[in-house]
Amino acid sequence: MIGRVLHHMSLRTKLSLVVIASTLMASLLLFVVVTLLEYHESRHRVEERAQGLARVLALNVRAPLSFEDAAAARRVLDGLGAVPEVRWAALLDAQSEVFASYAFKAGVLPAKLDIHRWAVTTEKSAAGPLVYTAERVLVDGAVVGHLVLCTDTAPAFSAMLAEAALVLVGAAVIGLLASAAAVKVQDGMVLPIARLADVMHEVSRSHLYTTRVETHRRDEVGGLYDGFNLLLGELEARDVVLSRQQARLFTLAHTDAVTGLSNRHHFRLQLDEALTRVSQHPFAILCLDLDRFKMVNDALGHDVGDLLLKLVGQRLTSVARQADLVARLGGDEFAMIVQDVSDPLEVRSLADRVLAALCASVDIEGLTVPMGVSVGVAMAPRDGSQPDLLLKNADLALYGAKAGGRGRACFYDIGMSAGVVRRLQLERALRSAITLEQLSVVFQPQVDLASRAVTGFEALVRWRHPQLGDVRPDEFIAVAEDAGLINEIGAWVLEQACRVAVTWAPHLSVAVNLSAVQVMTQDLPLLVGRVLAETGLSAGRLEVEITESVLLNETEATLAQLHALNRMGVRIALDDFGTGYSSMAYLRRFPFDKLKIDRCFVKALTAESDTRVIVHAIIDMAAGLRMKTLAEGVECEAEMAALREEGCAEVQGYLVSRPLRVEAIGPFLAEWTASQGATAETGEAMGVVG
Amino acid sequence: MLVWSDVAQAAPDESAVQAAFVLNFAKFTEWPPAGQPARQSAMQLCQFGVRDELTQAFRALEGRSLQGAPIQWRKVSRLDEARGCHVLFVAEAGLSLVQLGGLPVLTVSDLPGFAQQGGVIGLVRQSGRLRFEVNRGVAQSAGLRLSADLLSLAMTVFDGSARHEGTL
Repeated sequence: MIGRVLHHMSLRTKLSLVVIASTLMASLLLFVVVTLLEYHESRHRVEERAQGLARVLALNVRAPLSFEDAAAARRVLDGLGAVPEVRWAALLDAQSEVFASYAFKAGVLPAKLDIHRWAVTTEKSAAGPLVYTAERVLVDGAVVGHLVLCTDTAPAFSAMLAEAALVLVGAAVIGLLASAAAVKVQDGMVLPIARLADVMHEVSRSHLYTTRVETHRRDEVGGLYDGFNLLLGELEARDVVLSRQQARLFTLAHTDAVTGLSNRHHFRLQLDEALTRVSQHPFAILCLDLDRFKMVNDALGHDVGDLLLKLVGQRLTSVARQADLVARLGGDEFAMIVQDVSDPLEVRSLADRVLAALCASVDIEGLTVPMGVSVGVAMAPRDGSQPDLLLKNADLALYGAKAGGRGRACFYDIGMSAGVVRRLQLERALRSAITLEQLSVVFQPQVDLASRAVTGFEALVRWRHPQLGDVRPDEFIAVAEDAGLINEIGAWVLEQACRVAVTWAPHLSVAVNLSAVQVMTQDLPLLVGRVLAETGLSAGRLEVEITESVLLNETEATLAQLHALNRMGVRIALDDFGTGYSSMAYLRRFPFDKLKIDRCFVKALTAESDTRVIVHAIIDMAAGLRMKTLAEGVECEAEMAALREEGCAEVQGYLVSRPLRVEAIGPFLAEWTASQGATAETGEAMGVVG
Repeated sequence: MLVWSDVAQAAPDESAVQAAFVLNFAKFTEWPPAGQPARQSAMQLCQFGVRDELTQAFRALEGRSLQGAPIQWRKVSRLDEARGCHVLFVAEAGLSLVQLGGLPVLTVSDLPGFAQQGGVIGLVRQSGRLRFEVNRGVAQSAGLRLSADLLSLAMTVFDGSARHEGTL
C-alpha cells in the first residue's frame, strides 16, 4: 500500500518527504535523548541537593535534638521554606518519634509509617516524582536521630521538560530550514529533469524532432540536457532520411514511371477517397484508351510508344483542371477523376477537349504517329458508388465509344451493358487466345469449275473459348480490330496457313484474309516476306484476300503495300465483291488477281434474274480486266451449274466442302479426286473452254 | 542509645535529665589538645558535692564512650582534685572556681547564676523545661571550644573574661 503510494509520487515529493521525515526523526531522537539524559540528570541533581540539604540540616539539628529543643529544631527546619522543592522534612529522635517537622506551605506530613520506613532504611529512594532522603543525625559518632527529607522532582523535571521542548522546537525549526534548503537544492535537480520529461513527452506526441532544450548549466543536469539534444539531433536526422525514403517510396508506389502520372494504385486510392465524400462532391471518371497504340508500339518501337504515352499524359494534364487527377492505368489505358461535377454537359465539354487534344497525328522523332483516343465516362454517384462498379461502367462506356467508332466519348448508360459486356468479355478473352491456343485455322477448298479440280484452300480462323464456346469469326474479328489485336491474330493465321500449305501438293495454293486494319497499319511486305521465308512456301502459292473497305480509305501507303506484295509474287484477291461501295474506279488502279463474288449474289442467283445479270456483268468485267472470279457460298448443284454457265472460274462452298481441319484435308483430297475422277475429263474440257 | 533512652524514660527524674545534658554538653565541647580525653585513658566526669540521685545517674554513664574515651566518674571534694577532670558538675555551693584558673575543665551546675559567676554552663529550669546559660569568656579562657550549636541553644551567653574570685 505504502509502496504503491510511493511509486506514484513524484521524485521531488519523495525526496522532500525523506528529508523532512529524517530531520523530524532526528529532532525527535534528539529530544528523546536530551529528555532522558536531562531527566536522569535532573533527578540526580535533585537527589544530590536533597542529600546535601539533609546533611546540613542533620548537622544543624544535632544540638536541638540533643537538648530536646524542639522549637530550635523547627526553626532550623523552617529554613527549608526557601527551598520549594522540599515537600516536607521530619526530624526523628532515637526512638524514631517525630521530634520536629516541616511541611511546605503548611501541608501535612504523610502517615507516620511512611517516615519510619525511610528512617529505618536510611536510603534514598527514587520511586515516582518524590525523592526521599534520610540522613542520620550523629553526635559524637552516635546516631541520635534521623532527618528525613521528601523532595519533589516535578518542578525541576518540568523545568527540564520546558528546556527539552525548547530544544525540540529548535531542532524542528532547524530541520524545517534544512528541509527547505534541501527542497531548494532538489528543485535545482528535479525540476530540470521534470522539464526534460515534459519535452520528451511533447516530442513523442508531436514528432517535432527539431525541438531543443536550453540550459546554461554545466553540471550533470547540463550534461543530461546536452545528451538529450544530441539524441534529438540524431532523431531529427533519421526522421529526415525516413521522410525522404517514405516520399520516394510513395512516389514509386503511386507514380507511373513512363509518364510521371499517378499509377493504377494511386488512382484507386484517390477514387476510394473521392467516393467517401461523393454525396457532397459528385464527380466523374473518364476511362481513356489510345486508338491503335499497339500498332504504334509494334511498328515504331517501344521508345516511340513511350514518348507517345508521355505526350498523351502531358496533353491530358493540360486539359484537366487543377483538382482533377490524371492517371495511367497501364498499357494505353488512361483515366481521369474530374472533381465536383454533376452536370453531364460539363463533363461532355471536358471530354470533347480531351478528344480535341488527342485527335491529330503527332511527330515523334521524325515519324508521323497517328493518335486518337476513345473515352468512356461514368458519373458518380449516378453510375455507381462502388469503385469497382464505377470503373466497370466507365469501361463499358469506353467500349461503347469504341463500338460506335473511335475518337469518341461515350457516357455510360444503363442500356449499353449487355452488348458492351459481351464485347468486353470477348476482348479480354481474345487477348490471351493465341497463347492459350484457343485459335485454330480451318481450310475450305476452292475448286476449279471447269476441271472440278481442287486449286487451293481459303484459310479461315476459328476461336473456341472454354466458357464462351465457338465465337463467330465476324464477331471476334471486329473485336480484334477494335482492340488492336488483329495484326497479331492476322500474322498468326498467315503463319499457320503457310506452315500447313507448304505440306500440300505444289499446285495447291492457300488464301489468307487480311483485315483492313492490317493493310493500313502493318508492314505487310515485311510480314509476308518473313513468313514465307520461315515456312518455305513459295510466294506464288499464297493469295491474300482484302475487302473493299481497304480501298475505301485508300492511301498511297495502302497501294504501295499491295503493289509490293504483288511484286513479291503474292496474288491478291478482292473479297466480298459487290457488297461494298461498288465503285469500279479502284479496280482500275489496282491489278487484283481475283474477284470473289459475295455469297449474297450466289444465293439469289437462281431466284432472281436481275442477280444473274449482275453476276454475268461482274464476270465479264473481271475477264476484261484479266481477273479470275470465284463465287463464295455455293451450296447446291443449281447454283454451280448457273455459275458455270456464266463463266465463273472457281467456286467455294458447302457443296464442295465445309472448312476442314488440317488433318481432314488429306482424306478430303483423296475422296474428292476419286469422286471427281469420272468427270475429270469433262471438267478439264470445260476449263479449257472457260 | 540505651543510655539515652534510659534518660528519656527517666524524664521526670531531674537528675537523669541533668546527667544527659551534661553528657551532651561534653559532646559539643572541644578540649585543647593536651587535655583531650582521647589522649588520656578516660573521660573524667567529676562531681563536687553530694547529690546521690545525680551520682547514680552519672555512674550509670560510666564506661560509655565519649569522644573516643570511656567515661569515668569520680567524686571531687576539693578543687585541687579537679585537675584532670574534663567535666566538673558542681552540685553544692562552696567551691571557688578561680582556682581552676586556665584548666580546661567544663564546669556545669544547676546552681543559680552559675554561668554568670564564673561557671561555663549553668542549668536553668524554665517553664518546666531544662535549659542552660553559657559563659563563653570562661570557656575560652579555659581553652574550651563550645560548639556554635550549643551556643545557639543557650538561653543566655555571657562573655565574662575569666573565672573570677568568688564562692558559690
